[in-house]
Amino acid sequence: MDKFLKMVEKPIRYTGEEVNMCKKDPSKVKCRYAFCFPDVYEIGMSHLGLRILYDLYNRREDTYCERVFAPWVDMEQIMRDNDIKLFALESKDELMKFDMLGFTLQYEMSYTNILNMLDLAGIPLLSKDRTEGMPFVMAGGPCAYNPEPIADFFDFFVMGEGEEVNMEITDAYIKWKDEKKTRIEFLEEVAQIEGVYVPAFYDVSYNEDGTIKEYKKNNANAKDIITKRIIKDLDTLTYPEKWIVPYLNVVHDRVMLEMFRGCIRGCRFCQAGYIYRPVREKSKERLKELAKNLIKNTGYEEISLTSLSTSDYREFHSLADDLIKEFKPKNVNLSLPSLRIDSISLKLLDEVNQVRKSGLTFAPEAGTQRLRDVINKGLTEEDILSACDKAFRSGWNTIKLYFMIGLPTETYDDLQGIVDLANKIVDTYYAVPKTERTKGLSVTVSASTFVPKPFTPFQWFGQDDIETIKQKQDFLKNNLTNRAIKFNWHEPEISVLEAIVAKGDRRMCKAIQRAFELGCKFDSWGEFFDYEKWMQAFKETNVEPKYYSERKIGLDERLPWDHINILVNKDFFKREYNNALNEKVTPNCRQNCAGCGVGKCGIGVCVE
Amino acid sequence: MIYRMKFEKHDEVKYIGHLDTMRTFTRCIKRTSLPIKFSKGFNPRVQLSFALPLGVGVTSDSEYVDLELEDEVDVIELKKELNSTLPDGFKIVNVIKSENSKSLMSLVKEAIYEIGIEFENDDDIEELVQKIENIFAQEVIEVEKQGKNKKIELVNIKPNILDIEVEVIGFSSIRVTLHCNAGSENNLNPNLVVDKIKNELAGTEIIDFNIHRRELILKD
Ligand code: SF4
Ligand code: SF4
Repeated sequence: MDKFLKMVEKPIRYTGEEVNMCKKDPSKVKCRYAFCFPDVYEIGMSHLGLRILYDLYNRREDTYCERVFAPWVDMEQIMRDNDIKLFALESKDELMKFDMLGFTLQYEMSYTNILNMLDLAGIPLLSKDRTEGMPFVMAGGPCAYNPEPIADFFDFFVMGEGEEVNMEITDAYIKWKDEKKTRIEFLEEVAQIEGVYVPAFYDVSYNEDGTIKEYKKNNANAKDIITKRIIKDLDTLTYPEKWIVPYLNVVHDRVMLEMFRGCIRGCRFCQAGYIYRPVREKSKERLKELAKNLIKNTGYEEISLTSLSTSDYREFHSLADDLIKEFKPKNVNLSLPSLRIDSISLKLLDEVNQVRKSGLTFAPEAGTQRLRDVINKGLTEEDILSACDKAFRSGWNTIKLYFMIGLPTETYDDLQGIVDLANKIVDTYYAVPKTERTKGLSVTVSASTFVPKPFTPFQWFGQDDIETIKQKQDFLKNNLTNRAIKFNWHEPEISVLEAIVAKGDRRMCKAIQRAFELGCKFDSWGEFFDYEKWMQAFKETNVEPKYYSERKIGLDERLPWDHINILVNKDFFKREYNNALNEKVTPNCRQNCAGCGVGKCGIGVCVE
Repeated sequence: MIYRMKFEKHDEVKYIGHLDTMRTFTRCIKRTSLPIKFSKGFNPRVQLSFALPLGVGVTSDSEYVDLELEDEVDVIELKKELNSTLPDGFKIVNVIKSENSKSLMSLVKEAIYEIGIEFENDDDIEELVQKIENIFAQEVIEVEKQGKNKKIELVNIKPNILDIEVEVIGFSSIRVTLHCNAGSENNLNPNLVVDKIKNELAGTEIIDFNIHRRELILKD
């Protein structure tokens, strides 16, 4: 192995041995678990879920959890040429020796990497081809909520937060192993655990028009509806205090402190806003204690407060103040992503951000108030302009704006609204007296393409076709002409593919497998993304991509993910769908409960 | 207070590049309770200065780093504390209080490397040793080197080689012991020696090679 490492870029992607890596004797545990992240090391190690589960599994004496990442193409080539099987970083043992492989599904564009990793491990791609003695292959994470497009590849899926359910599965595994039962008996066992979905236990039938007719169980142990798991009290959860410190400069090279789960806001395009409901916070005291321990165990120079909408933490300012007081003398910085910018947070940013490298970020997502009402983004032009005014007066000169194009009901007036808003920000800057502002204004407008996602009120909408998206991008290119404004956009093909796959059903599995066979991998890396190959894969497997991405789905249609229950009612999504069409805003959870259905659990924000 | 530390870098961590090694030491020191002295300015840093960067993939018995602390500490304790928090593969072997105000970098004079090379089994090993000795017996030894502007240029490495010895250490492996100039003025990158051998022996397959820095010699 050593001689091969000399030939690849960044060999430390494959060597492990970082500070706080867990070392165990694999022969002394009952369950060997491989946490598989279908992207490179630097991205995987920036993922909080990996850290949480790694820690949780390794706190058990009977289990050893190791990490596996997608090898970069140079390493893959060497592995294939020399018949080296995919291995885990800790023991360097190949995956076939493990009891369970758990993939995390963070984005659809990683699906071909999963197949590539299974292939490199010498494990059959299809669940039905795996035999006794082979590892079980499972998956969880946000994309698992629509497991259908990859249902054939996994033995089972886990819905929702993994802390409890993964431990229950491990217990069941160890018991099953001791009793020396068959593979199918294990699947029957876990199918009874709340939150576990075994796709092979369901048969799907289709109507003549191609829509789904029904899901029929073919095994008595399977559940009709699979309900996501949630953790009731985040304060009593363990947290990965023995935080692995990578040698490589990873994407998020810092301590990540999770303040809460969920988001109170319910922007109608945002899957995260629904699947993680309800909002549950960690107490300020617990967070301060964790921060202290994590810095002590890592020596990191930065703590980032990570949650969906950071400033919605109820005691946000006092927490930030306390952390600054504690850590500033130790030269540890605080980073505050996804902050809603107002005058108080500006002061705070001033305090933590001595170097103004990154600038201020706003995500209005749509250009007019009308369309912002449609998507339920409660951010007004006035909010943005007054925050910009204050920011310019206190020395900021860099503003980043994030928008989406192709949102439901969008017209060219809304696109003109993007142009107008950007121009008004420029005007706001010049309205500030020269002596009070910093020279060199830069306004960056980034426009991504709307992707309708399952478990959002927009799940029934179709996506614009590629031509329409390109025309809209051209409109912005041609109209954002001010010298201070920079326009960023991406080729729409990748967003189109994302929509196709995200809303896919089981018939999509063959297409994904074919795309892999044709050589697709690292699809989220622009340099490898090959739209033509994907289109070829759809054609060869008789999958009509536009059926999934562009078709407007009827409200009464059976959706491919209807047997998954995220605790938010489908009726609520229908209500929100109509509210969107009526341009009616829904208040956030703290203003007024909208009765989404999660309240029946009686926890978190629903009972505050 | 400046403490000069000598450390080893073993196989486990040999692929960690120079910048990553610096970061590893910084964080390691921040995990201890030592009286850290931070630099002044926007981005206060732990004050560490290394002697001579070690190439990626190279192991060493002889690395030096200076650490500046706010107060005086016991050198034995310092060594113990750092070794308990450094990752496996790094080992501090000696610590002294340094009186020398010159930067470590400017003190580097020479280095001794051991280069292990493993050949295909069926090659005549004695003959290979002879060939390699001949290469380095020449008056001028030119190698290709990537210059400042990414251009490949030819350089003569002979003046930087102080001594070179080749010996057989196994059925199909040899060891080249290279004593050469090192530091900011005259420096020889041992990889160039490996490249030279590879080029001259084109046709003979080299299965693997390993570079080890046995000694870094400082000016007194
Ligand atoms: S604020 Fe809106 S976009 Fe952001 S996480 Fe919450 S729901 Fe999603
Ligand atoms: S039940 Fe009400 S408060 Fe709870 S998540 Fe749903 S909308 Fe928010």
